[in-house]
Formats: sequence, C-alpha cells, structure tokens
Amino acid sequence: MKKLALMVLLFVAAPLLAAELEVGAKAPAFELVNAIDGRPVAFAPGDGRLSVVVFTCNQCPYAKAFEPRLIALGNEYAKRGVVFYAIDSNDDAAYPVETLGEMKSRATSQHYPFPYLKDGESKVAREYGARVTPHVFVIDGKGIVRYRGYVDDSTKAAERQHSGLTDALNELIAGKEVKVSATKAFGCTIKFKG
Amino acid sequence: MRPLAVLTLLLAAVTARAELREVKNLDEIQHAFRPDARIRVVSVWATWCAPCVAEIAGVDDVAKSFRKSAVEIIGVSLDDAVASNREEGKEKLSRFLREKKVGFPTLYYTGKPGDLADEMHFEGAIPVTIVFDRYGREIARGEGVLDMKWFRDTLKMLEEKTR
Repeated sequence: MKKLALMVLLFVAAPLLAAELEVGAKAPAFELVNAIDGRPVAFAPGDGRLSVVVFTCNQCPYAKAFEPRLIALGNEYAKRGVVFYAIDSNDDAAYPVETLGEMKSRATSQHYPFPYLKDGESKVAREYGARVTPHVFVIDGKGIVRYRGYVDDSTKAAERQHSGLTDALNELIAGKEVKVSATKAFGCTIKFKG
Repeated sequence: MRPLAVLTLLLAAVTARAELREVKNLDEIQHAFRPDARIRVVSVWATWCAPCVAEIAGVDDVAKSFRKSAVEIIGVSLDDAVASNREEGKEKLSRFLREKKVGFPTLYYTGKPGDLADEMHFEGAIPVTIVFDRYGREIARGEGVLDMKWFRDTLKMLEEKTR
C-alpha cells in the first residue's frame, strides 16, 4: 500500500496552458473587434483608467449565470470611471455559437454596457493566461494587474460570501491595497483555437 | 391517465430526487464510498458541462465493468452551481441520470465550486476525475475529458496492485 501511495498517475487531456498572469504583472495590450458595432476597440494598459477584462462566452452556462451580475456591475462601475472589456476567446470555427454575429445578438439583446470583443485566435486569452469563463482581471491606471480570478464565489446572491471583483474595485477606487488579490476562477474551459 | 399510473409516475419522480444525496465538501464525498472499496474514483461533472456530458457514457461503461471489484466510481455533480434553486437543479440532474441510464451513484454538491477545486487541487474547470485509495490519498487524476483506455487500464492496474 505504501508503494501505491507514492505512485501518482497524471493524465491531462487539455493542452498545456500559459500561466495565469500574476498580480503585479503588466497587463498585455490588445485591439479586438467589438461584436456590437463591428469596430475595433483598443485597450492600452496604463491609460490611467481602472479597467476590468473579463473572459466570457456565449455557450457556457456558468458564464451565463454571471451575465446579469456583470451587466449590473458594468453599469454601476461605469459611473465611477471603471472600463469593462468582455472578451470571447472561444474558437468559433469549432463552436458556431461563438461567431461575431451570435455575440452581437447576445450583447444587444442583453444590453451589454461594455464592448463584447472577439479574440478569434485566442491570442489575448493565452497572453493573460485565462483558462475558463468567466475569468476576470482588474488592471489599475498604470496597467498593473491588481486582481485576478472569479467574479464572486457563487452565482447565487444568497450564497455569496466573497465578491472578488467588487471588493477589488472598491478597494482600488478608495486608494487601498486589494486584500484578496487572487482567487481561483471556475467555469467552462476556454475553447482555444489551434 | 389513470390515477394509479399518475401516482406511480409521481412516486418515481420523488424517489429519483430523494436518491440524490447532498454533499458539501470532499470529506463528505469520501464518506460516501463503500467501506470495502479500495480504489475510490471521484468524477466531478455537471449536466451543464458539454465535455462532461460527452464522457458520461464512457465513465458509466467503466463503472459497470468494475461493478464486482474493489473499484467504486462516484459522480459528484456541480449542477447546483448554475441552478436557480436547489430543487430545480436536483430535478434536472435526476432526469438526466434517468434518461442516460447512468448506473453509478451521483452526489449533489451544494458547496462553492471554487472550494471543491481548492480541496481537490484542480484547475477551475470540469470534468475532473480523481482516484483515491481507501485512506483518501490521491493516486491518479485525469483533468479534462478522460481517455477511456487510460482510465480503464489505470483502474485495472490499481485494482490488481491492491489485491
């Protein structure tokens, strides 16, 4: 039995993923097409604005469960100068529900208050080390990652004990350090292209 | 429909739901295994997870082939993570298990998915399959969709080694 306990067998079917961007790292810039109006949107970290980059998608029930919350937060925090970028990095050739057209339809019917960007090559997801949907990164005005992980620890308001995203935003807006700066994002795997 | 038939259907629905035992952490999951199971497999999945649904028949086949052995496979459903309420989540899961004729026992996890991911040391996505010995020590794992040949061969080898 001792021998058995020492023996660890690993099987990982998923391709090896890039490491998740560390808190304190400089966030990568990106320019992606916004599905809502077909125009490019550029994020230049260090532009002086507190920003939220959230990897999400059309097909994931767990991401969809957080959608109303993200829309509400997008509206609420826009008033406080926070900029949200929602990114869909799923391979739309393999998953037709993730095309620009489907994204536009979702974003307009749900009244997204932020751009919904197509990361067709999954390049931005790889650069951020995003793994699942939803997966959130908060970037300060200097372009530094200050929080990464989940939106909340539960999709259900009644069971929520920690709101990772709003706590981080509130602390940063108040000029404080983020107490819990990294949490484990949970959700559907990003369907990487290639 | 005759009243008796309606009653039977109702009873079947209630029984199926009642069979779904709730668990809220890994300790409770570990305690759900048969005491004589030497190889204990926890398969974490959900009906809302497409890759999980794709592999469920394969896992069920493997579970069936090890039915009379020291290997026990238990499913842990994270359906509650997206269900608008618990009863609805359980009902959906019960219906799925019935329709797909899933034979291995399934538990209904009511904790936070991130907490289970921390306890079981997996990245925040499912399916994930972790094999424990009877003392709760991990001896193998598969993250993502299982390679069924690997899964079957590994369980067979572990089962033989612990005889």
